[in-house]
Amino acid sequence: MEYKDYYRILGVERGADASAIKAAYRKMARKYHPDVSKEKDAEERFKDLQEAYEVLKDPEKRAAYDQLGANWRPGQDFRPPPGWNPSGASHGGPDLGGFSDFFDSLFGAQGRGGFRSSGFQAHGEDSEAAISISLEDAAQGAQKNITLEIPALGPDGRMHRQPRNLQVRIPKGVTEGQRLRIAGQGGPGMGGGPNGDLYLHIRFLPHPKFRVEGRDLYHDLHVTPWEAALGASVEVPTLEGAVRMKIPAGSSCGKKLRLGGKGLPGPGGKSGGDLYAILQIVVPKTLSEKETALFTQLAEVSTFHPRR
Amino acid sequence: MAPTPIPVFEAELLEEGGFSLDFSHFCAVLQCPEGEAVQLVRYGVIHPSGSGPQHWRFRALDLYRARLSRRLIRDLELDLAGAALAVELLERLRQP
Repeated sequence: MEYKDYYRILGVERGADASAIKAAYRKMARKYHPDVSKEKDAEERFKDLQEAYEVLKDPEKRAAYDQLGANWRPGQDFRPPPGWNPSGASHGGPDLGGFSDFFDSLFGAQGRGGFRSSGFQAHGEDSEAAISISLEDAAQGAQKNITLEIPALGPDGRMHRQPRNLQVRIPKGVTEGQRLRIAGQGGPGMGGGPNGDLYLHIRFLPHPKFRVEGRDLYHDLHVTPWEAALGASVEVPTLEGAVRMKIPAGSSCGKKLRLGGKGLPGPGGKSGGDLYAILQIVVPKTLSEKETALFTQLAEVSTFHPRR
Repeated sequence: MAPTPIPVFEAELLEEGGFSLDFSHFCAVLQCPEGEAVQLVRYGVIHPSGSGPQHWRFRALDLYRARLSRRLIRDLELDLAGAALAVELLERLRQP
């Protein structure tokens, strides 16, 4: 097993007093707490912090740890000295199973396996993960197969993260930023306590045709100059298939046309958002001879001067 | 041998309620003393509907916020007022 330098983990000198240790823990815990931190390795770092603080805040455990001496390097292969049994080397109360082999070798692991017979019960930790779904899945509901790393209690009584496949039925009407709760699929409970819950944060996959704002959808609708000038009936895509929409004569680029109720549905499929078609007037890159002649003729006869 | 079927789980939308628990059931699910749950309501961490513990109804979002605040109190050594503020700010940051 690897030696852990608890002082280095908390970023304090070996001679730091109790208040300096407490302050260092609070500062680092704010940075790496999994509910707060966006750091990739936050969970591992936070576990290390908790373990280091568990030892250094307790005078007996700290004294026992200090007996190992200051010549160890972090990560160095470690075995407890022969006959290791210092005062303070007993586990104080039930442990939730997150500490390292190094900690167990110094302070015992009776708390890990022993709580079952001591009547101790604890609710399993909640787990959180992100799930990316398409707009179609959000609108219609879907069943998705997901693989997650979920904490699980190993045969040694310690927590391990292990991959787990789940099929999740996503209700229709979810939208970006919402959370789904899957009861009892988080970390395992201790001593017969209930499992934690799994929370899935909804993210939308980019869509080739729509942008999303809340429950409204936006689509850039390409039209020709003559459709914009004369008006037209054109096809507009929706999540339920194409529909026809009337473009009023004299429409300019950027005009916003609304298709009521064609956005994302509300929870349970109730009425939700709208779909907005934003007109984009597109001009052909190359013109045939006849088209050139007609545009030239239009330019000669038109009295329209948009820059005046 | 046929592969083990992957279990299918129903997901409920946290923001839309999901369930409705009375006070004692909520405390049992949260595994917390009733006095502590009352404090969570007083400090605005959770927002049950109804007036007074006898009529309170708690929803899935209350359970999520209560557990989050208890983790923050335990792990960051926050007091209840600090945890209430942190939960509020974390929820605001989470908005897209």
